Amino acid sequence: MSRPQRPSRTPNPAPSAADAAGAETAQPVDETTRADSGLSRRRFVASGAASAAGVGAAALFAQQARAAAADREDRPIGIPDEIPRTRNEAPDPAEFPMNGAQVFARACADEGLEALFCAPGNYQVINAIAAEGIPTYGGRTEGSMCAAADGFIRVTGEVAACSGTEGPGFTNMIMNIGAANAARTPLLVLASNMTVGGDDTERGIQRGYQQPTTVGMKKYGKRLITPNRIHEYAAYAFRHLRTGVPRPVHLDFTGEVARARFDSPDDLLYYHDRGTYRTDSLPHPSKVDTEKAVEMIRKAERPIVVASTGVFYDRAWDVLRTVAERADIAVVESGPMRGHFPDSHPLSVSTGPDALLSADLVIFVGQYSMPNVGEVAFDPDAKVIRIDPDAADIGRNLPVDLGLVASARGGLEALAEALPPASRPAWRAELAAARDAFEKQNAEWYELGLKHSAATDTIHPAVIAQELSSFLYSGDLPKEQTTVVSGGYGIARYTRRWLRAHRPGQILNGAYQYGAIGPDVGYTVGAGAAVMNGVGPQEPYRGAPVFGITGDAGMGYSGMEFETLAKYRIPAVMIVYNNNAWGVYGSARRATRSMHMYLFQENLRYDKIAEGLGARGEYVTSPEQLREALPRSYEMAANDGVSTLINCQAIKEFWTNEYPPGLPRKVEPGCMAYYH
Amino acid sequence: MTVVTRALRAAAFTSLGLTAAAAGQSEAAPGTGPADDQAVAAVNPTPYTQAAAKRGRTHYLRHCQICHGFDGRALENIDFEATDLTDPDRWRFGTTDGDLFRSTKFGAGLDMPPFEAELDDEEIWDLVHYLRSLGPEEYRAAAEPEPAPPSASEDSEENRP
Repeated sequence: MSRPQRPSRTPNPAPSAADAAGAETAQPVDETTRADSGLSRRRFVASGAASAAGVGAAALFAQQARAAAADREDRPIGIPDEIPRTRNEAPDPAEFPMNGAQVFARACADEGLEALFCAPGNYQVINAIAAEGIPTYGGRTEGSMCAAADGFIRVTGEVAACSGTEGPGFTNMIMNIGAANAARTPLLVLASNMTVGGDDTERGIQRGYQQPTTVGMKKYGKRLITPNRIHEYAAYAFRHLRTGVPRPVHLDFTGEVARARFDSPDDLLYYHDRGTYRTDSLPHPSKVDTEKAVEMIRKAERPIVVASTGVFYDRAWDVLRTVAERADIAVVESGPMRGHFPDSHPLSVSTGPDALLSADLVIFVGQYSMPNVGEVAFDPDAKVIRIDPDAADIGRNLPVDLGLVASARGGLEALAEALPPASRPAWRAELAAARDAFEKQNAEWYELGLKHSAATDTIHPAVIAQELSSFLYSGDLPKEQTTVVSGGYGIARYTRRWLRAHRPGQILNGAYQYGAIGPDVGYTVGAGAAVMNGVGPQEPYRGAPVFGITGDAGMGYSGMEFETLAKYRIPAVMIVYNNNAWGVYGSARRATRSMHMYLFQENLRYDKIAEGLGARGEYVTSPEQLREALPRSYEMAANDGVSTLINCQAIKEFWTNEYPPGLPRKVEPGCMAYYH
Repeated sequence: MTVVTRALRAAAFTSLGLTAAAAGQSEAAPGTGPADDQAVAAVNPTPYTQAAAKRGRTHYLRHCQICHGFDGRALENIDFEATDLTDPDRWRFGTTDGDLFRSTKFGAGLDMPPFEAELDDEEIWDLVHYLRSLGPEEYRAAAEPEPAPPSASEDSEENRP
C-alpha cells in the first residue's frame, strides 16, 4: 500500500520587505530553496533597489545608514540621573497612620528582610518596602527577579523577597518559585491581586486566583483579604521563613488590604513584636538518640557527613568542622550552595568521589531535598543516620538506621558534645587518594579539551573550566574571594568539577533539583547584589566581582537581566557556553523531523546583546582568547563596575563520544551534585 | 543453566538485537579493536549468583540509573533517549553478555559513555548479571549450583539460588 502524498509546503516564507532591508549580516535560513523558488534574499534586495532608483537609491541607503550610526554614537547608553538619585534617598520609614502595605513593609524591616527584587507592579507594597530602606532592585521580568532573590538568599542565608504584579507578573515567576521550592529557599514571594470586591467579575485586567497556582511550591501561602490582620500574616510569613525547613512563602495582596488605612496600632489585630510571635530556638536531638549516633560513629571505620542545605541556613559550619575533626569524619557537601566545609580541608571529600562508595556510615545533616536509593554514590549497605528537624521526612526516599529529630545546628552541637575523639588515618589517606585521583582525571580531561579545541577552532568545556579555575584560585585573587553562580546544563558537568569552595556561600549551584537552567543571569544579579552589599558571609568580600556560568539555552531565559546588572553597576563576569543547541539535542538524533527543534542558529553573538544592554561583551573562540578575556573582564568589573558577558564558542558535538569524555556523568553528593 | 545453555540463549539475543538494530538505528557501533572483539565473543566468566547480581546492582545504581532509570526502563532520563534495559528487542548494540560488557566498558554509539575508568572487568561482569535481571524472566540467567561455603562467609546466604 502506498502512502498518500502530502501537499508540499514552502519550508520558509519569502522575506518581507522589512526583512530584506535588514542588516546584511542576517543569514537566510535556506538560501538554496529560496533561490530555487526564484526569490533569494539577495535577488529580492537587488531587484528592489533596481526598481526603485538604481544606484542612486543604494547610495541613499548608505547615507541613511551612516546617519543612523552617527545618531547612535550621539546617544550612548546611559543611566538616567533618577536611578542613582532615588537609590540614594534617605529612608522614610512609615509611622501611623499607615496603609496596609506600609504595615507589612514595617514588619519586613523589623524582621531584617535584606533585599527586594521586583518588576513594577504591587505598587503600594514595593514602594513601602523601598521607603523602609530595604535595598530594592527593579529588573526586566518578574521571573528573573524571583531568581535574583533566590540567588541572593542562597549565598547569604538571609531572607529576601521578590514581587510582581497580579496575573501575568505573578505567573511569570512560577518557574523560579518552583526552583526555589526545590532548593528549600526561604523566599518571600509577594504579588498584588486586584480586589476581593471584584472577584469573579473579570472587571479590569490581570485577575486570577494565585494561591492554587503555587500549590506544591511553597511552605505557606495566603491571599490577604482581611485588612486588620495584615500584621498577623506578616508574622505567619516570617515564622515559616525563619524556622524549620525553609521553603517559599507566597502572599498576595488584595487592594482592600494594601490600601487599607490604619490610624494607630489599635486598628490592627495581633500587632505584636517578633520576639513574641516566633522563636529562634532550634530543635536538638534527645540524649538517647545522640548516644545511639555516637555509638554508630564509634564503630564505623569510614564515617562521612553529608553537609547540606540546613548546615548553611543554620550557619553551622563551625560546629560541623568541630565534629569532623573531633572524630576524623569525612565531609561531603551537597545542596543548592557550597562552601560550608572547605574543599581544601583534609577531611573534605567533595572533590573525591571515589571515596564515597567506601563509606560504611553516612550521616545526612540538613539534607532537605532527599535523594533516593542509588541517587547517591554510597554503598546501599552502608549504615545511615539522618539529622532533620522534620520527623515526618526522616525515612523518606532513603531508609535510615537512625533518625535524629533536630536542626542541623542542634544535631551537630549534640554530637560535638558527646563524641569522643577518634583518629582514622587510613580513612584520611583514602580521602586524599580519592581527591588526587579526581584532580588527575581533570588534568587528563583538560589535555583532551585542548586537543578538541584545536581540532574544532572552538573552546572545549574542560578548557573553559580549567581556565576559569586557574584564574579564580591560582592567580592573584584570594582563592576564597569570588562567589560563583554555577549554572548551565551540560557546561555544569564540567565547571562544577573545577570550581572550588573555600568559605560559606562561595558557590551557588544554579541548576539544582528542579533542573531549571534558565535563571542563571537572574541568580547572578542576586548573588552580585549580595556581594556588593556585603550581606552575611559575603561581608569580607563586599564589592568584589561575582562570576556566573550559563549556557546558550539559559541565556534565552534571563539574558535581558544584563540590563539590570548594568543599571545597578553590579560587577559580574558571565560565561555563556555557546554550543548552538539545547543541551538535550541528542534526544533528536534518532528521531524524524525533530532535530530543528533542538538547535539554534550557529555562532550567535550573545556578547553583542550584552553590549546593547549597557554591559560589555567578549566573543572568544580559543583557549588563548579566553585566557586573556578573563582578567580583562574582571578588571572592568572590579574597577568600573562594568559587567561582561564572555561568549565562549563551542560545538554541540562535544556532548558525544566523538569528543571524549562527552557529556560526563555526575556523581553525587559532592562538587558535581546537580539533583540533590 | 549450564554455560552452553547460556551461550545458546545469548545467540538468540544476538539475533533479536541485530534485527532491531537493522530496523532502526543509524549510529555506528563502537570501535571494534582486539579488546572489543574479545569482549563480544565472551560469555560472562563470572558465574551467576545473587551475590554477583547484587554487586552489579550497586554499580548500576551508581553509574547507570541516572540515564536508564532505577528500574532500567529509562522513563525519566533528561539527557537523551537512553535504552530501555528491560526490553532486549530495543537494544541497539547487541544483546549477548559480551555485547553488554563491550557497551559498558567502551561505550556505544554517540551517547553511551565508556566506563572503563570507573569499573574493572570483574565489576562489569557483575553488572551484566544485574542488567540481565532487569529484562524478561526467560532471558535471565539461572544461578549456578553454589559451592558449599568452606567457612562462614557474609555472602553465603545470598548465594543460594
